[in-house]
Amino acid sequence: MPVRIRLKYCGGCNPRYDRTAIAAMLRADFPQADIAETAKDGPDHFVAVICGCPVACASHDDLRGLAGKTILTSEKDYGKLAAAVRSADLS
Amino acid sequence: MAMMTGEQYVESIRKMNIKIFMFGEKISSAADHPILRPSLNSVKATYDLAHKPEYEDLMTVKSHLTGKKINRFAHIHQSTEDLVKKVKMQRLCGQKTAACFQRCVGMDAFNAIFSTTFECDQKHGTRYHKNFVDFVRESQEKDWTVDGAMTDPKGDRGLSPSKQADPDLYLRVVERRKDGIVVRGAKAHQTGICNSHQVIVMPTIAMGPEDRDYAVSFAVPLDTENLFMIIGRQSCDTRKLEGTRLDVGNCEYGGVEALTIFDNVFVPNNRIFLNGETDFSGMLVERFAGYHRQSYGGCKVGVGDVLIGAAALAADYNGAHKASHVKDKIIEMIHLNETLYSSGIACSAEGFRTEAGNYLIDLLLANVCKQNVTRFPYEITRLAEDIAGGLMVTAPSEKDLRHPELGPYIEKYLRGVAAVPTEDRLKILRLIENLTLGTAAVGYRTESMHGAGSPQAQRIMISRQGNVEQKKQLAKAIARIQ
Ligand SMILES: Cc1cc2nc3c(=O)[nH]c(=O)nc-3n(C[C@H](O)[C@H](O)[C@H](O)COP(=O)(O)OP(=O)(O)OC[C@H]3O[C@@H](n4cnc5c(N)ncnc54)[C@H](O)[C@@H]3O)c2cc1C
Ligand code: SF4
Repeated sequence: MPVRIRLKYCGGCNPRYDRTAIAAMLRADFPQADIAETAKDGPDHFVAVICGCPVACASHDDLRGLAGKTILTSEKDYGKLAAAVRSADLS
Repeated sequence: MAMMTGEQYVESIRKMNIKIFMFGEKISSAADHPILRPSLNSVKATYDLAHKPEYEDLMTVKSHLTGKKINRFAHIHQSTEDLVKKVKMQRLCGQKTAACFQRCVGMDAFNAIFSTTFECDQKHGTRYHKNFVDFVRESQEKDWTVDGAMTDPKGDRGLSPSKQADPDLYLRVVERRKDGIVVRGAKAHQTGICNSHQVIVMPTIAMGPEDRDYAVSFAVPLDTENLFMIIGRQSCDTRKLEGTRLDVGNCEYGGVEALTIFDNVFVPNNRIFLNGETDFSGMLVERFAGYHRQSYGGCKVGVGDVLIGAAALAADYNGAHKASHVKDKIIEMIHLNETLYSSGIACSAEGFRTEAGNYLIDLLLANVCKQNVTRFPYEITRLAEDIAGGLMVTAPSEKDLRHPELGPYIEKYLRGVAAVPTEDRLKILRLIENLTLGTAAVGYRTESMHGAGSPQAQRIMISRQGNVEQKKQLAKAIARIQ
């Protein structure tokens, strides 16, 4: 079963970077992963909450990733997310 | 129906038989007229954005009535977080359209009427709250755009509604029937009414017992019999008929107002939200105005973001971007814009629960927000015009730019920095023209002044809410006055 990553964006009122670039990087670095912005049946392995700024006001209480949830507030946070996905033992 | 897509919204408006007049002629639909279509496009954007994952956290919310996901424009605010997200959503919509996107008025009417009908029922034993909740539920299910109609023509401003020479200068009940009421009058300056599904009417001022027939609130579909509208002119509006994209500045989006006439319109009982209870007229006006004054701390900020970006680009294209005074003017524009946003967010964060359960903004801070809105966009436009240079009002037309003989001269002589095409420079200057003195200035300037009440209306509220007595006590305590 491919690793499943659920993306959740903040509403983007004043983002300090291009939030969709995070999704593009994920798709490029993890071509086998199932990356989706909408809910699917079954659990997600990771949740990435992509916020445009440090306020990080996206609502995500209802989202859970079996192997964790990463909240991104700048492009730099992508490394954190990618490392978590790489190192996860999903066996 | 679930949330509509933008296209479904356009089709739903096209299917309605809304009676619109402009330049002395009847218009078949706002969807198909070049002057009106940009207004409809702005509302369409509020539907399209709600379907995009990167905006849905602001654009959508769970309905407290049905538990379903709805467009936030149809929401009854359940927390201060909802109030904050409302302002952020409006900033976003302003950024995406650089125009008035019109759906805020209905949203603000929803929240004001929700709490006012509840309190009116408690006092008078009426059943308006249920009527209203049913209407909100249907609006959410059908994803309607609802116009909020408060402003009456008002005739002689020194006289109350019932003392006017012509009794119809404030909208009023002319007949009370078993199955409903018949109303006559007009509502002026109605934003986006030509591309809305429904209109909610509210009284425009606090009233005394003698004004009973004027204390009326209700909703009707916009293709109701005996209801029609006459579109307001905007500066440079007929440029939209010329078929060029450059000269209009913003070729996709806009906003339009109309004088709307209710020439003996029947309202069924289940759509009446106030009918003669004059003691609740003032509360409704105050709450609607409060919410709408909060709204401007989001929508005008979003439009301001575009104008600041345009001014910065104009400086880049002009080669003036490194000048210290230009940098400082951009800083000043940002400072003013974010000050507006600050009070929009502050009055939301300081909101509180009403007796009906929805959340109301802090009225003092909302009025401070709007008072700033009556000033700062004017200063922001002044600075934008300063940075843009005179060409924003003297540039030749797109037709001349495309002309085989004239075009090359325009290309040559109106270029700024060598690396930027002349056409791009002209596009940005036209956008600045549009926002500062073209069609969009209706929303960015004059609506900032008068929308949700002229400046004096906020000063009255600030004086009422300002808590001066407590401030005197503070001063006495420090000065050791007993
Ligand atoms: C672009 C735009 C969009 C709008 N959209 C909507 C909308 O969607 N829905 C809606 O309901 N309304 C809308 N409005 C109306 C707006 O709320 C009114 O313009 C505002 O309330 C002022 O009313 P007025 O235009 O009649 O001005 P007036 O009331 O004529 O005010 C003009 C001046 O006279 C002063 N004045 C007026 N009456 C008195 C008095 N009794 N005593 C002392 N001074 C007085 C005012 O303070 C002001 O300085 C919109 C307005 C604009 C410009
Ligand atoms: S996280 Fe920042 S950019 Fe995103 S909606 Fe919240 S405040 Fe706006």
